[in-house]
Amino acid sequence: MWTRKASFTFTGGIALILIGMMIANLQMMILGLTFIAFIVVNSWISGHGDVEVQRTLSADNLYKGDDLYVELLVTNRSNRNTQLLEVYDNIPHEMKLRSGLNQMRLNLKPGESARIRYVLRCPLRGHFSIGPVSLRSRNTFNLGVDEMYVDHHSDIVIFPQIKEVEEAFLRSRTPKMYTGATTLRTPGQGSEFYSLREYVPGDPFKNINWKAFARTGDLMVNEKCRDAVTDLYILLDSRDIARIGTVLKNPLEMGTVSAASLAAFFLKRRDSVALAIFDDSLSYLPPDTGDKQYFKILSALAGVSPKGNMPLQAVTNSLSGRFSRGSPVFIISSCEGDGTVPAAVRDLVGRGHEVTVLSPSSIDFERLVSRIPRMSYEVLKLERQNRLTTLAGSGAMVIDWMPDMDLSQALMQVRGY
Amino acid sequence: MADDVSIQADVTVTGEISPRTLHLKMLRKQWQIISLQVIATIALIGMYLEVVSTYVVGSIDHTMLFDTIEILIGDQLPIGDWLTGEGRDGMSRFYVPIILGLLLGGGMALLAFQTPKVQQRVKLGFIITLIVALVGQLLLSWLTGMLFSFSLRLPNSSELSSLEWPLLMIMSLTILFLYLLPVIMGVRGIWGLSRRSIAWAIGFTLLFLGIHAILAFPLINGQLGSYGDSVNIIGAQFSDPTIGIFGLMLVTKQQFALIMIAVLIMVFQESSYGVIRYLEYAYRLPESCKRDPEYVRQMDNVLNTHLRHTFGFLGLTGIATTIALGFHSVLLGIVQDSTGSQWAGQISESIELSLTYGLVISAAMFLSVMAILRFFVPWERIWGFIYSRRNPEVITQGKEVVEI
Amino acid sequence: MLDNINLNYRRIGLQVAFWSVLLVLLLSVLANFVNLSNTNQLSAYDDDWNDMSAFRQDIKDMGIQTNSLVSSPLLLADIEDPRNTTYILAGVERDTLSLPQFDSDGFITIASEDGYSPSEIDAIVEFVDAGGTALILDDYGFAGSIAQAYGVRYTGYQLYDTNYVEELDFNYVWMCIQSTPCGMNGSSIDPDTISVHERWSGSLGEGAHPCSLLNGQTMDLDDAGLCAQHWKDGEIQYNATYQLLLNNITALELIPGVSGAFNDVSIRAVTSNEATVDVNGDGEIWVGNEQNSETPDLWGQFNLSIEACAENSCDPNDGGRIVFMADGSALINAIYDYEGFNDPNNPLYGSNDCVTNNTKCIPENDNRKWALDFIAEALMSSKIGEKGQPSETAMVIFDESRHPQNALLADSYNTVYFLLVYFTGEGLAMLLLFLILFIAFEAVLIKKRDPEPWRHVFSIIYYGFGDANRYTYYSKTDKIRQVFLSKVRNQNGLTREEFHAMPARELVSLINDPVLAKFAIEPGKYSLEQTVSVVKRIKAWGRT
Repeated sequence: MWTRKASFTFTGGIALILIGMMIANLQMMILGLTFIAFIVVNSWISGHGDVEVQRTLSADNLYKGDDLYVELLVTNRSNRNTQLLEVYDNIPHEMKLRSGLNQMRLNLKPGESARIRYVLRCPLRGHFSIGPVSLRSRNTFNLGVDEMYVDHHSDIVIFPQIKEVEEAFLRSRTPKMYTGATTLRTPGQGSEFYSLREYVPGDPFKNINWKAFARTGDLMVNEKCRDAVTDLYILLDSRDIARIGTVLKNPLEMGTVSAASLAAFFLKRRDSVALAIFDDSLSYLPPDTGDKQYFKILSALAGVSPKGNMPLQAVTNSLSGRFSRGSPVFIISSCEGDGTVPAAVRDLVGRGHEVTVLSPSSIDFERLVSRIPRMSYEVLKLERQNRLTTLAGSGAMVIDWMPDMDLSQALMQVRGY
Repeated sequence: MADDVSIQADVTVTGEISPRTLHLKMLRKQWQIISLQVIATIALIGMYLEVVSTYVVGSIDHTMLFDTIEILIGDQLPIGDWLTGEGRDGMSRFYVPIILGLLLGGGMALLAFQTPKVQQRVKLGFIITLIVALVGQLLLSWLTGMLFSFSLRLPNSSELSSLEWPLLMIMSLTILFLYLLPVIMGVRGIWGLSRRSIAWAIGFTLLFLGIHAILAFPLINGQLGSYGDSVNIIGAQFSDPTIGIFGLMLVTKQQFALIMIAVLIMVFQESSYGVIRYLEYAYRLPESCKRDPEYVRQMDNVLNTHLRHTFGFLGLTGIATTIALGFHSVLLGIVQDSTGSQWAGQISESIELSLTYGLVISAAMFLSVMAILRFFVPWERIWGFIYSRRNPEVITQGKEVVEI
Repeated sequence: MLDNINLNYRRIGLQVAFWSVLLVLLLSVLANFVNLSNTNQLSAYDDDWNDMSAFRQDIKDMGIQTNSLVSSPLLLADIEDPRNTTYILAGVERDTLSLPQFDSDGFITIASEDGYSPSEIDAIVEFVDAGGTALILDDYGFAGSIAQAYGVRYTGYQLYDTNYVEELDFNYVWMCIQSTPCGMNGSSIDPDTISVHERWSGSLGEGAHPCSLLNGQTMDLDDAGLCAQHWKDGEIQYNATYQLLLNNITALELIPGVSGAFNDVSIRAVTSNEATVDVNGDGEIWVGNEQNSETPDLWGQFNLSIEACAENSCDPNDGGRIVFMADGSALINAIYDYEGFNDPNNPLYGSNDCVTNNTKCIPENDNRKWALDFIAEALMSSKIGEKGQPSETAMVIFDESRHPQNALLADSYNTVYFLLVYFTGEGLAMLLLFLILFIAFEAVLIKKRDPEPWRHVFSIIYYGFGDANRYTYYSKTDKIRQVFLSKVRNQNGLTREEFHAMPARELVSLINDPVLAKFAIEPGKYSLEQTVSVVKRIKAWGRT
């Protein structure tokens, strides 16, 4: 494609020739002819973007706020010079260039390659994709420009940040809810021996107790104890209302951070953690333990976005049957715009669950982005206090989480009203 | 995977002996940039000299203007003849003024790189010097005159006559400045990295050519009477060509001068703007990229290509224009050889061919053929192939990279 | 991997359609312009019997540059030395292209009858004004508009004269370039009626032919230069009698009351007194005392050649001149080079009756002498010592622009020339071209955009706003009261039913604050300040 300069040169050339002919001026005609000759000669070489591109990332998954190192290797595999080639790696606008540059102007000879290295900071959680690589080849005098792209993508998942919460639980004023890893006397994946049983096809060979086999002549396998103290259920509110606030400070963001941190804390203690995210529907990750579950939870949390308006009671109704008896339930919700919250909490408490409501103060998040009249704010705040008091009255532990408060700090405030 | 990604290379980390970065300070001293600037300067001077020798010298040059002024005022102008070139013949009238223009333009470019404070001081100094030179002598003699005679009076004529010298001096310098405007502005633009100055230099030259073209237009030239005779008119009909390539005579000397003007304008424009474009790119790079040897290497590549293309393509442009202009005689030969048809005879002798119309049509035909040639001759592949034959190690190096 | 070939069929289809329509339009326009014909005649660049190659060759042999003009006489404006240029127009066989242009009154006109457009005629007139010499040879063609510019008219009807060549036919008419008509004596011209060229002979006192000044000078044939046709026996023997043979002629008239570009218009040749003009073109002559439907044709003496000069002297150094002749074929090879035509051993222009049967041979004539004298007068150098020689820049231009071509390519090429000349030479077309160029520049300026430079923009600006409409609702007294009562109920651990069943007095004691109790029980109007203080109290209530 011709650039503006080329178009002007060409039009100018034609105009000069014609006007030169009109006024019988040879200088004008020659100037015009030279312009056109310049374009013609330059059209012989147009450059190309026939290059091979290889992108390497320092990690495929990383935590919010971490740095990502990217290296783009551009190799000219053709037998021609690329001429002036601008290479631009398309990166999501949510990512910040910390160092280096995601573009380069180069001219690769046949077989030559160039490396573009840059560092990105990822301030938002989510699923992102780097790419495609845009190419723009020009000729030396900027007369022709061609744009193309190499459809080469690299996907990355940015997990929510994990905050340290151990101290919060240690220093909590409330009676210790969770007393640490004590073996549950139920069979399952674990480390301690539970019992011997007969071999069933499908059991891994490594579990076969060869001594018992030698002794009895029957194939026997070792059964292990489940390591988890308990199953912890985290219910995360991802309804549309959870988006109120700024991009980094809103109930959902804080909710994902707290869910991830709690899950990390309990999984580290070899507890089982289940995660239910409710927005316009319910997505449920059954309780499990280990790194795999940790990864699953983080992935689920990375992809959460605010939408829908599912009432909490609908969630508890559908899940309560699956909840292990007496297991603690964490509800992370602003508790706004949902009249079923007290009933749901009461119901859970009634079933013997230890319910903790971690409630980001929605009205205070709203205050970050909107000018709320003072009196309305106070009344709204009062209403919220009433709501939390009701929940506390139902037997749940309630945490009123203010925007500027750390998670551990918030957890230490856990109290019954 | 994570281990594969290394952080951006840095000249200090890689420990090169003489670390090269893309900082402007360093880049300005790079040989390619200097070469481009020198090429631009030479093209500027060449263009100026060609324009002057074709259109100005002997018809409307500054020495003739100075002579006329000297006759009008009946006195010599205060500016020395050795400086203006008065009394010399032909192009030698312009040699000293051009050197002056180069120095002035260079000085202005140098000034552009000083701090705003220094710039302001120099400008202030210049204005004060100008004022002092203009009215200093008058004020001194007038005030001391009043002081000695203890009377308040207007300056008398002898005191006023002291204004003559500075006024004439400034007028002479202004005339010289106007004549040298393209050189001064061009040099300032090339070395002071000012797009606007380059545009001024080109614009002024084109404006001059445009005004000259209008004045040379027969209708207007006729109206100018005797003044019109001083406009150098280049006729449309031409004598036999004397300049060509491979023994094929294509254009006349006069036509060649006009081609040179056009080509040199382009060389000047492309080289000077090129320098600014590349330096601007380097300037905008983040600090870490400026120190990255990869960026330095690619900058070298790009600059080398620009240098090569400046010679190659602009040279070819000149040759192509020359051939295009002379192509009508080639075409004429072809048509003359193909006898038999009434039309062939007509065309071979047509006044359109010898006038500009045939020139343009045949030039357009030649350029069209050249343009179409790109679809048949894969120049880029040919050059790439030649390159790969000459530098086989680059290809292997590239393969090694991929194996990683 | 590389996905740069993003085919957009709709776009491609549209483009193809656009260019096809444009091509069709262009072809239809060209089809109108291109005018093919198989009647190839009167061309100085063809060597058939009815072309003029012999004349051109003679001129070339005299050392004069010959050129053709294939596009438009507009180009005459670009001739650098009109004084030493002669423009020859023989037979205008086709009309001009009907392109819009300014007429002489400055109005836009599209149709141009009679061969040349107003601007082309202007160009010819200006060329002659500037000292150029023009020779217009035409009979029934389109040269009328040029003649009109000089107050002359081609009648366009065939003329018959008694002075015709019997051996041939009545179409071959003798024309004597003299002020009086010549007559026939049998089959040849009566010598008694033969006179001399009125001006060239010097009888007018000025304007004598330059060769007459060399009369009697002894010189070699090579030195005779432009007067070589008068060289005889080692000296110049200038003779001002001219008997020209014409073929299929018409008559010229001076338009009464119209003064052309030049005041000095002279009739150089006339017919006999018994010439007739076939006005109705029926091939028969019916003449009477007056012209009516019965006797539509004319008889008498008619003009055959008219010369218009800038000055009385007709000296090329004083200004230009233009000569009209009532026959387009006066200089065709068959007549001009009758020897070559009649030569039975080596006929130059193909077989003919004279060569094969020795009949219908072209008689001896002075066409060559006259034509070369015409050229000699126009182009002889006026420099001292160069008498008889052509001037250095002497040039003869044959107007071939109005001769149809028999090849599509040739005519197309000429048309391209014409369009180029038209658009850079004609006022309205130039205006139009300026407009087109202006629009093109504007279009480039407006439409052509370079791709924006790439830049990574870090942007996570996002605001999740709540429902701002509820703010006013939450500042209403009723809502505040409701919130307060809920707080009271919660604080005291009462169920909704218990709270509703509670008597007012008990509620007052529960609240234990007169202001708030009043607020809770007695609905009333509260000012803004009062509401604020109430809310403050509610906030503080129950903290102890």
